[in-house]
Amino acid sequence: MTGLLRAESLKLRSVPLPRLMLILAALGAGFIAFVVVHTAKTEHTTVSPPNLVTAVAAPLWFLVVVVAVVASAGEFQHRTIQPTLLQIPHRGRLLLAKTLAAAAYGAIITLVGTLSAIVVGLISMHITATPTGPLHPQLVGTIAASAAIGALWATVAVGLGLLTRSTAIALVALLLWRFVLEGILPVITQQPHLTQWMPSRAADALLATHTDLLQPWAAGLLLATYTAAVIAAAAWLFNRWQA
Amino acid sequence: MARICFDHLTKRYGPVTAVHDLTVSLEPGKITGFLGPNGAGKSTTLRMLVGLTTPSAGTATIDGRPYAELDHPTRLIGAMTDSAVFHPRRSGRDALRVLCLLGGIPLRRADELIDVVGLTGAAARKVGGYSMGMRQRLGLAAALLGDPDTLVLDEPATGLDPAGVLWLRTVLRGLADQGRTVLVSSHLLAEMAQTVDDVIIISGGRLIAHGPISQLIGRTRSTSLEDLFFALVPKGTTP
Repeated sequence: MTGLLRAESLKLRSVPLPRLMLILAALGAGFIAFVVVHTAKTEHTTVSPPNLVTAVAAPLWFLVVVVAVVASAGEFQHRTIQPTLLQIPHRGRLLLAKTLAAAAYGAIITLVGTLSAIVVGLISMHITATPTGPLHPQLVGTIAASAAIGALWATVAVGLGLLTRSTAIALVALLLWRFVLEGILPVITQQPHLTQWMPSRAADALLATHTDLLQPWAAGLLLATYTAAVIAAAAWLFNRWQA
Repeated sequence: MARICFDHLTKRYGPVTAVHDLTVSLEPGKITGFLGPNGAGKSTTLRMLVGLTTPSAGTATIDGRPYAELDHPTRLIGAMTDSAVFHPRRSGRDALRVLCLLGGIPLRRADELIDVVGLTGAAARKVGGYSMGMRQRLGLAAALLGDPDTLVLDEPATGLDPAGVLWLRTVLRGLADQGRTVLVSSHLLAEMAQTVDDVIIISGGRLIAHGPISQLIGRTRSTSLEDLFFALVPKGTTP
C-alpha cells in the first residue's frame, strides 16, 4: 500500500494543477482574509479568527474538488488508467490509495488556505488597528475540522470523478448540487428542516457557523456517511469498468 | 517462462460479437504476430488478456491464471495497449516512475528503460510534446519496466518512422533472442514478415490461422505474408 500511496502522491506532484491550486489556496485565502478585515474596519465591526476560517471555506472547497476530480476523472480522460491497471490490477487497493492520497491533498490545501487566512487576517487587523474579536477557545479544533472537511470533500470528488469518468460532468454535478439542489430540495419537498441534512450544511455545522445546524459530531457522521456512499458507488462501478 | 492461452475466449458488446470462441496458445520464446483487419478483435483480445476487458465467455490466462490474479503481473508479462496512455503534462521520466511505484518496481528501472528506448534527452520533457514515435518508445519502456518474460504489444510500430521501425524490429528480435515471448499486433504486414516467427490471424473475431509463418505460407502456396493474409481473410477487409 505504501508504494501505491507514493505513486498516487507522485501523480499529483508531477503535474502542474495541484501545485497551482496550492499556491492559489494560500494567496486567495490571504486575499479574502484581507478583504474581510478591510470590510470589518469600514463597517466598524469585529472579526475573529474563526470568522476568517469560515470566510475561506467555500473557495477552498472549490480548489479541493477541482484537483480531486481531475485526479480521478482525469485518469480516464488521459487514459492513464490503462497503464495504472496493468501495474495494479487489484482495483480496490488502487481506489483506496487514490482516495487516501486525494484526502491528504484535500486536507493539506485546506490547511494551507486556512492558516494563510488566519495569518494574513491577524496581520491586517494589527496593521489597520481593526478591533479583533475574541480568539475562539477552540480555534485549533476549527482548523482541524476545516482540514477534515477538505479531506472528506476530496474523497467525495474522487468518487464522483470515478462515477462520471468526466472532469466536466463531475465538476458541474458538484457545483449544481452545492449551489442549486441543496437550496431547492427542501423547497420542492416542503421539508425546510431537510436543509441541515445537506452535505454543505453538515460541513458548516462542523465549523459551527450557525446555531441552527446539527451538532458537530452528528454533522461529522452525516458527512462521513455521504462520503462512504459516494465511494461505495464509485467502487462498485470502477470494478465493472472495462477499457 | 509464461505461457499465454486463450480458451474459447468470447467477447460480446450487445448484439456484436467482437471475439468469437478464440482458442489458441502461444509458443514460448517466439515472436508471434497477431494479424487481422480493422475490427477483427485483436485489441479486444489483448485487453482481455491483460484484464482491462472482461470476457463474456472463456478465459485468457498467463501460466493458467487470469492477469488480475497474478501477484506482480508486470514482472511476468509486460503490455503496451496504446501509446496515448500518458498524461500530457507529466514528464516521460515521471510517467515511468509512477508506474514503477504502482508495480513495486525499483525507481532506477525508469531511468534504465529511458536509456534502452533512446529517450534519455527527452526524459524531463512533458509527454504532450513527444512525437508519436517517442510515445511508442515510452510505451515500450513501460511494458519492459518489470523485466518480464513475455511482452504483449498492440500496434507498437504505428507512428514510427523507418528508423523507428528498424529500431523496434531490432529490439523485438533482441528480446526474443533473450528467450522472451512476444505477442505483437500490427497492420504492417511487410514489417511483420521480417519480425515474427509465428502468426495468429483473426477476422470477424474468429481464428483464421495459427502457426509458423513459413509453414502457413507453404501450405497456402502464398509468396509472402501479404499473399497469405489476403488468401485467408475475406476480401473487402483491410489489414
